[in-house]
Amino acid sequence: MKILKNNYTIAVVNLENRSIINIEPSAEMREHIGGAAVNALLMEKYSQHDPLVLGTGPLTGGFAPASCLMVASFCTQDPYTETKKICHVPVTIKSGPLLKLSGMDYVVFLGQAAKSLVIYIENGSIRMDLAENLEGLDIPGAVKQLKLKGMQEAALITGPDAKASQGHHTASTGVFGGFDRCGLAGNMAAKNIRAVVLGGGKKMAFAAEDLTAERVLTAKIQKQLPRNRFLTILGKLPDADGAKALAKKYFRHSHACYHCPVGCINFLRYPADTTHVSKGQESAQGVFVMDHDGFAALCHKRPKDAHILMGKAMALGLDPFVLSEEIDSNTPLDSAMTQLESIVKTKMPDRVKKIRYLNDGICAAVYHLFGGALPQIIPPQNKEIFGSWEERVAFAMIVGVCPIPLLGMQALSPLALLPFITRDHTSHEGLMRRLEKGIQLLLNR
Amino acid sequence: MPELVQPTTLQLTMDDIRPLPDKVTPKKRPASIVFNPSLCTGCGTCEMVCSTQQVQAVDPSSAAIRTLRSTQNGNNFTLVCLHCRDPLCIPACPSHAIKKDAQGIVRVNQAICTGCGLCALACPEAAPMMRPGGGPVIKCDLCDGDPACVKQCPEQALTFTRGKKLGWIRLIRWPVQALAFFMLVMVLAGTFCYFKAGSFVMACPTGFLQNLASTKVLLLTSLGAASVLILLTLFFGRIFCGFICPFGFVLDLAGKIIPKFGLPQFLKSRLIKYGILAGAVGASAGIGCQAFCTICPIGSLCRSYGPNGVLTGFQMGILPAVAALEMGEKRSWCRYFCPVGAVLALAAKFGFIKIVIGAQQCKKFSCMKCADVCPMGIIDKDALSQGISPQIPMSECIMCMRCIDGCAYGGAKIRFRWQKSAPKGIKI
Repeated sequence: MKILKNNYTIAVVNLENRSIINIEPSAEMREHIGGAAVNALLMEKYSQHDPLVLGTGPLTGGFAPASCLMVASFCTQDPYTETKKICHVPVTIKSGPLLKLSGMDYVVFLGQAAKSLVIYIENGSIRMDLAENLEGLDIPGAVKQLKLKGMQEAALITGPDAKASQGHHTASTGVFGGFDRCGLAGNMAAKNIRAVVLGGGKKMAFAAEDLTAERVLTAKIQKQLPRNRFLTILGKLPDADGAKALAKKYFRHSHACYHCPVGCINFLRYPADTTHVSKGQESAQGVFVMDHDGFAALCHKRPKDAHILMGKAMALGLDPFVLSEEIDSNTPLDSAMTQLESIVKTKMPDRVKKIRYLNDGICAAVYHLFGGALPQIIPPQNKEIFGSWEERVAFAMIVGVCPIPLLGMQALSPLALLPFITRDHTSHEGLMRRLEKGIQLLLNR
Repeated sequence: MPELVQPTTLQLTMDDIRPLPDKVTPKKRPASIVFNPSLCTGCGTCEMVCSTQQVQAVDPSSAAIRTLRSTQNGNNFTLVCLHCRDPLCIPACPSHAIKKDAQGIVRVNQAICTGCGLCALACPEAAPMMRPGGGPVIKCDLCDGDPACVKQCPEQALTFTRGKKLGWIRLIRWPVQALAFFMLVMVLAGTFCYFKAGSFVMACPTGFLQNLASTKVLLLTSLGAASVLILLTLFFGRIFCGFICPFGFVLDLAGKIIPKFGLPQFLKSRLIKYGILAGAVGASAGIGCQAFCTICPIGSLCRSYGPNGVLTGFQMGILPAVAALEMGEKRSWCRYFCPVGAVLALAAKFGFIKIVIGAQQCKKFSCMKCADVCPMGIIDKDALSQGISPQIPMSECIMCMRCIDGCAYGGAKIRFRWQKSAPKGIKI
């Protein structure tokens, strides 16, 4: 059985001596299909060099709905067991497809660079530039600067002071935020990587049948979407009434990642603080809510101005969930902003985050394993394969689709996605066994 | 295991290299892709599908359609060729590689395009896309009338339209105007604008205001009669002016034959009609009778027929004088001077409906037919030339619906006042 669109192009980048080599995948890597499972094997192979692995799945960039996923894997301290463990963070928007369109399936970063770098991956090659012109810039400022240089997509970018701590900074996908609460930003900062920029430049083959299959599946998903689009994810989160109220008040548009029919990113637009706006300036501000869980936590603490704090936190690369624990609930907005700016520069690497409330059916260690920021939506219990939260997320992280539609949309199930991996129906059983192995590999290590 | 689609090689014929000039008959119902920004989530499916048609592989950078995200405003926007009525890219191309076919599709001849990019510079939408590695430009050819992006768009933000059948509203408007003229002038013979039987008094809104000012007595029957027109305007805009007014019908007919020479600038203020209304009410209060009604062209026309239909003195000259204003601009009287229109304009300002010209359906700079046919001259050509959807002031719109009738792309629509979304295209 041949898996479509999985080339296993692996590049290993040594940041210390700035060397790049391409390696062949092992038989075990081929057996484990792709995505986070192959990332885990690469982590094991280079465990002596503190690796950071970016990887894609076989469906990434293809016609399977929500095929936008790239997985960033690294070693971090588990806040529950306080031991070093591998963590796989989902990176969305256009990152996965662009990594593939840049000619890479997996990129491994080893060691630590001497100076802060921007990594450009484009047209089959990797380039490392000094990030001097990004020094001190917040995330929107840095993205703007990179766009001036012709950047297509900032797959991962950190705030200006990510070195201060691993605990309260978060790596952002462009200006959209991310699903990282386990120290990816700190890990990137420790390696002196300020941003990973993807440029594309290559082409991907496709199966003509996928076009028809995608239309049928997308139509099914569309039927299940709520009329009020901000309720797609927020409506399924427990204890998110404050977030729903704010979203309802300021919701302007829903945004989708690459080829996703769900569009779960809410854009909130709200009036800017008029006291700080001079004549002729834009009098409104906006914020993308991709980290719905973090936004809900922040709204729980400050139900009136959480959106403003969220925007500021995203610009500085701070984790909104940690902010909800750190920031005072009754102080005026100006004081809260000042407090937020002081948190950015605070060194608190040893502070372990409080163990958060988790829904029944989600294991705390596994939740942290997959970034610790995915929405806690329990998929419907209909006896389907990979039916639990952990199994669904692990499946998505292996095949390279966003886990959120898989959790929230009944029409989008692992079985519906199998034809996009291989058209040979007789080999589906074998494929399922291999996926099961990959899921076991992720959940047991 | 399905077979993967392989890129095909470009096969040239003599027709590609040296195409013969052909006569193009403009299509009455031109094909076009319509984009609805309120539905687009920016997923980029259109880009990936388009690239499979253009280069037989997934490569969004080689697509003829481009999705742009505004991270400041949260909007998404799609750049795609509008297949303009008079495309600016055609004269800009130095190698004559672009032409419009009989279907109205603007095509690039890949064999002779040098990829210089002048067409992209000339196009206000920047629709011709430059290839990342150089070579002929990539431009939407509507997939020969079956656009793949429209079929695959998950949000149905893209629709393929051939516009609509033109001219059906005028087939209704002219008979309605003629019938209204017959009824108001020949049947009701003047009783429409003023009727009195004992204490029962009916008048038009302007007549009611003058009556109120002159007698200082509020007659409920008169108020009721005036309210009918006001309510009609609240629900349907100034449809009285566009469809019912007998003098408007005369002006429309006169406008067909009278040449236009323009009006002096000092007469071209839409506030004049409000001044005339205020003057008429003030004069009525001063002299104790309806001052304007004696010279009202609508009233004069209505009272001119029948056994008692006599035009005297000043009235003899008012009709041709006002009709002569038609030499200035279309419906000059209605635009600048009519006090009845002024009352209705105030009501229409708060009415329930509006006319919108859709941002994406509209061909803007290359068409402007709506602005050309509008008798009130309220569609801003400057906005259209800048690619902006013009705002239609409903107080000045007479709801003749010529813009809706004339737009081949379905860009002009009637919407409720509270509806904000751009109108959807018409599916075929």
